[in-house]
Amino acid sequence: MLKYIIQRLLAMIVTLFMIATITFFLMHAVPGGPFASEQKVPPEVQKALEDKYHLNDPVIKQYFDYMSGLIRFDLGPSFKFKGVTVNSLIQRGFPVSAKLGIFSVLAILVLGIPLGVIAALKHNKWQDTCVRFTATIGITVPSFVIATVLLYIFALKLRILPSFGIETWKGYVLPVAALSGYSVSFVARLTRSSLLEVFRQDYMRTARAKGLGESKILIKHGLKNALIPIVTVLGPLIAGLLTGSFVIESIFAIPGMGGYFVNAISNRDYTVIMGITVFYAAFLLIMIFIVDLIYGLLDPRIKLGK
Amino acid sequence: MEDNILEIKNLSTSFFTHLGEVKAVRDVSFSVEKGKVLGIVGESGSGKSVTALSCMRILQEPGRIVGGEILFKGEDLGKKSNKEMRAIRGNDISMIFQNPMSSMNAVLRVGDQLTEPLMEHTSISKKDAMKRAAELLSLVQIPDAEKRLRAYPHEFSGGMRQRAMIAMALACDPELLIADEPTTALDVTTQSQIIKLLSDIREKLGMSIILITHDLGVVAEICDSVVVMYGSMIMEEAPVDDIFHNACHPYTLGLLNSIPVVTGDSKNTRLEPIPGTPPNLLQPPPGCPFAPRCAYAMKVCTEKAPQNTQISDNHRSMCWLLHEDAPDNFLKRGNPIVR
Ligand SMILES: Nc1ncnc2c1ncn2[C@@H]1O[C@H](COP(=O)(O)OP(=O)(O)O)[C@@H](O)[C@H]1O
Ligand SMILES: [Mg+2]
Repeated sequence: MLKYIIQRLLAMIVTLFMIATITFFLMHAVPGGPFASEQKVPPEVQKALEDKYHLNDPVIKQYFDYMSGLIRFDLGPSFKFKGVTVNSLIQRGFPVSAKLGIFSVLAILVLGIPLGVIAALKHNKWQDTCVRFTATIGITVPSFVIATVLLYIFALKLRILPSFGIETWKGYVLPVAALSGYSVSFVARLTRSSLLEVFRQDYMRTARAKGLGESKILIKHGLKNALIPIVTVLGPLIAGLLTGSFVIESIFAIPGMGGYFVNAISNRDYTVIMGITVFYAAFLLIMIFIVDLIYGLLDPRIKLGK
Repeated sequence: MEDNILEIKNLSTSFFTHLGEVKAVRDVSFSVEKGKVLGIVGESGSGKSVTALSCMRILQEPGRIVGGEILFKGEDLGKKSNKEMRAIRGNDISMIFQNPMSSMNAVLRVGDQLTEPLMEHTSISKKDAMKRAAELLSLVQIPDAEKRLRAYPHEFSGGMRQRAMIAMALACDPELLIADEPTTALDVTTQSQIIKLLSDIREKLGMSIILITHDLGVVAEICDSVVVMYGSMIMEEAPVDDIFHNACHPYTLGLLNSIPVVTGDSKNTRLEPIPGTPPNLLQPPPGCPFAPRCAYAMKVCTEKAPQNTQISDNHRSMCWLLHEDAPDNFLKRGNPIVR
């Protein structure tokens, strides 16, 4: 087990290294640079700026400089926000995005999974139809449309929830609903189909033949098996939710990671792009790793490390 | 009747599918004597499993019992509440299934699954239940029982899993054990071991068994009486000796003809499957379900359902050929195919 964990961690480092490398060179292959768009800057000033940030060094040297910083967890200074490091940018943005994300993950657990269970238990009854209908909307309608509709109803018409800001708990309701709409719907649908599949299995009949009650059959024999495919998608979903969504964050004026990232791309803020990409990748890899560990706990047929 | 642990009377079960009503069991009646082994034989799709599941009342949607009575120790199970039924399942009547690979829950330890009926039906502590589970595993001849309880099903072979399933079914000392093709998914050696085990256990514990199989060899080995099913109906019911030596229904004879025969020193294997396919149970033919495949079919066979003919006290057969008006009574001719 320990050997497996060490192996996985090493593999993660290699993967991260490759992601960083590819992102770095792709980014530099795109024409333009951090200071090219600022037309008002005289050429001498632009040159001076580029020199300051070593942008006129050969790309390969820049690459090694960057990587040596990365090894020390130093993601470098932002080119656009003067005097701000990428590390501090992430430190500022991530908790905001993560808080929003955690509420969205909670929504998956307390809404998505139970709704899926209800739909499966009431297969082809009105409850099932309702869940399926709502989930289809949640999956197909983009989050910004959901956000706009929610804002229109709850902020503009009913005036019971604020339209932006997260100063009070009320401020979280709409952004969390818009952000988690897709994930909750997706998990509800997956839970439903996974459970329906499990209901057809022979071991469920065995459990029934033993005289167990329906709720015991569902929880002990059904859910544990049905959770296996759900856990697989939960990892990437959670990683995506915690690292923020630019669209939702900009609609609700929430100062999270998503906003920084998109601004960085349009500004060619190289270090910020790199920093957030690497951070996001590391986060995703860790989530996938955790999912695999949980997977091994749920399904004894999967032998970790073999 | 006192001597019958189970009496099925005119049981009919259907599946209400999108295509229509699939009549999986039609007007089936038979009884199981206390301490005896009743075999149910027939090709696959003839309604054997559905009959068994109906007895336990564990049919899956869209299956429903549409008529008849299931008398267990004189009480109609069809009239019991779900709660009362639960107290009977796994306790008074238990069941083992065809596929030991998928019938155990892969994510729970064998011990957990074995103790479940005990924890459900008795007020035993978890620790004592585990002890009892270890005894049960020894009873079904799984060595190293205590250690095996901590294993997961995938660490067991097919034969061992079926043994564990049997142990599970025996946990609460049931009066009736329903075994639905317990050996079909196993290899030949394991098959005979499992049958031997069942017959030993029956001797030791004295419960009644319904053994569903399509293997007449198994029937010969352990059954006391036999029900032959075809096209969701009973074709013939008789004591085991009568089935092998005095079969009266062309379908039973066809089944007998399709088993390999090994005689004396020269191995003379003969295998003649009955030509044709089973009837469509969505629209079963009005007459005898076997008529389209029957070499002796008459006009009446395709038009009207055959009646029960009592051959002897406990031997009955559903065939027009046995009717007193049938030309050249089939019975008098003896067994034209076997002889
Ligand atoms: N879930 C189901 N839905 C529809 N029809 C079914 C279902 N289960 C069984 N049947 C029908 O019932 C008939 C009898 O099945 P079964 O009792 O399983 O046969 P067997 O004798 O092989 O055990 C089959 O022909 C099948 O068409
Ligand atoms: Mg069957």
